[in-house]
Amino acid sequence: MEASITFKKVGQIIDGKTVLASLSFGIERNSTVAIIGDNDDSGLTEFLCIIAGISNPKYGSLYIQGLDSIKRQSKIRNLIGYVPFENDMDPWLTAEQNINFINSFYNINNEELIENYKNYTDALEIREKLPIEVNKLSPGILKKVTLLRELSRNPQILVLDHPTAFMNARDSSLTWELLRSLQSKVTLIYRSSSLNKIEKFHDRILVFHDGKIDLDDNLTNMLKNWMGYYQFTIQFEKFLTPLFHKIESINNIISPIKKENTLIFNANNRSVLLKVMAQLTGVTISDINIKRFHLRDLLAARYVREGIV
Amino acid sequence: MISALLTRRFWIIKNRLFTTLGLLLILPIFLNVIINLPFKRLVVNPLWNIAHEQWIYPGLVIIVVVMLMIPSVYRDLFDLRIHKKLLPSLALTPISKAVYLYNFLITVLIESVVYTILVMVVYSILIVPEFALMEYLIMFPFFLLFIALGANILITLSLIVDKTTLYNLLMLTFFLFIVFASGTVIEFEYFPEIIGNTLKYLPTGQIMQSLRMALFSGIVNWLIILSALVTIVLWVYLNGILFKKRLTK
Repeated sequence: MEASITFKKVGQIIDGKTVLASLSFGIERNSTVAIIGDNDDSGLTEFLCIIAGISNPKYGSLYIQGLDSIKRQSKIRNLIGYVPFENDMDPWLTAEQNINFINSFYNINNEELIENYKNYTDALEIREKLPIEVNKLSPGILKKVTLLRELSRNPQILVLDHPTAFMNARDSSLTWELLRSLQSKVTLIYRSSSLNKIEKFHDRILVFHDGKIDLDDNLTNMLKNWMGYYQFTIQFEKFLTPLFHKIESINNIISPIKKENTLIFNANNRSVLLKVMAQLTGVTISDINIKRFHLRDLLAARYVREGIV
Repeated sequence: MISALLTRRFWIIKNRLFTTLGLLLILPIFLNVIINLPFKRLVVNPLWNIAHEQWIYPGLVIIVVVMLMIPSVYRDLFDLRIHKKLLPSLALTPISKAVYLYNFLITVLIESVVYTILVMVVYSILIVPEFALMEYLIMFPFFLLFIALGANILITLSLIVDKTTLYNLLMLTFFLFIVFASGTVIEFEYFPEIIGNTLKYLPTGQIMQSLRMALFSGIVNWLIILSALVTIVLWVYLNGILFKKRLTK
């Protein structure tokens, strides 16, 4: 697949601290990439800012659609849309005036702009809010206005910092629906604190830690490569400690725990469960639950000590 | 780009039409009451034997226009910059930041020209300076020079100061300087010699002096006009660099 964005040893240093350390990787054209990491990790913000063109990397090179991000800045800016975390609208203008003002600086076909503007206005259900002055609108609505502003230009790359932040449930759902409709048509790079949404909406997840990309894959592969485990919970009518010790000694059983009459253990294949069942011959099993790990569990297991979740 | 910036100014004025119009009428009347009327009684023997109304007219126009320019620059540069509004999105557009700033200055000048014409009309009615049309036309380029200089000072302050309290204090100082120390309403001869001579050679003082010289003696000092123009152009260029630095991390 053709690369939309290519990082070549890109690094960023802020106040003497390395927030991005020599990143080298590519993002495929029209793919959807979700980024996650520590809440206080300024590397994530910088990562988005560097792609959007707000800041330049301290070292290394970045190529957008094959163009050098510094030398061909002006051309690249027509390709990218950026939705910041907090609204950056002019408080003295209405939402519509803000959109028209910013978009007038881009080289875009006017008819296409009007067409996109109409379509996305309807998709985001925001028409009646557009004639209102920005300082009278809620942050959630402003997020939608910002998204409308960027989408009207039909960018090839859309960078979103918490795309549904401050939104109510309905607006959030509308926005995700709209973004889903753009999947495979636009390169989407976004940061979100909603792990449930990320699980469902990505081609690739980048997990940042200490300025580096610690995990880089889709969820299925990540779980397979990095964990590949299932959690088993067996509830007994009566679960005695000697039996638990027997189960503990089974090969390949991971972290068995006895909680009163419940046995919880992890395993990466069915044979471990069968060995446990064998040990239990003669004992009544009232229920067996099998829980598949989710991204949240992966992060909890891997990073809980560093405070990532 | 100028048209986009002018349209934005038009929208801002339209969104606050009554406040702007009110300010445009009340401010000249207010300044006439608190500056012109007491000065007329205070200055019994005017210098150069020029009628007080004629002498003070250009100064009053400049004070009002500079006062009207302060909120524009505050709103469009300082406030937007410190609150990270609009300018980050503008920085991401394909236009160069320096070019944006030059166009912004031109927009401020165009807006100020409109204000200047309105304020000139209001003061012509209020203080009746009895100028001929030609004399009004002579004043205009000097007003433009003074406004461009003032706008540059305001732009620099808006770009280098990060605290609202300090900015407000500096704006007040700037306003007091324009009123009392730039030759708008107080002649430099009224100051102690050293201070008067210093103020006289500042660009603001030079423009005011050459304006009155052109108006009352018919002599145009091209050297002063040229040096003021060079100062403005260089200042605009430096502001462009400063703007670029402040908007790029």
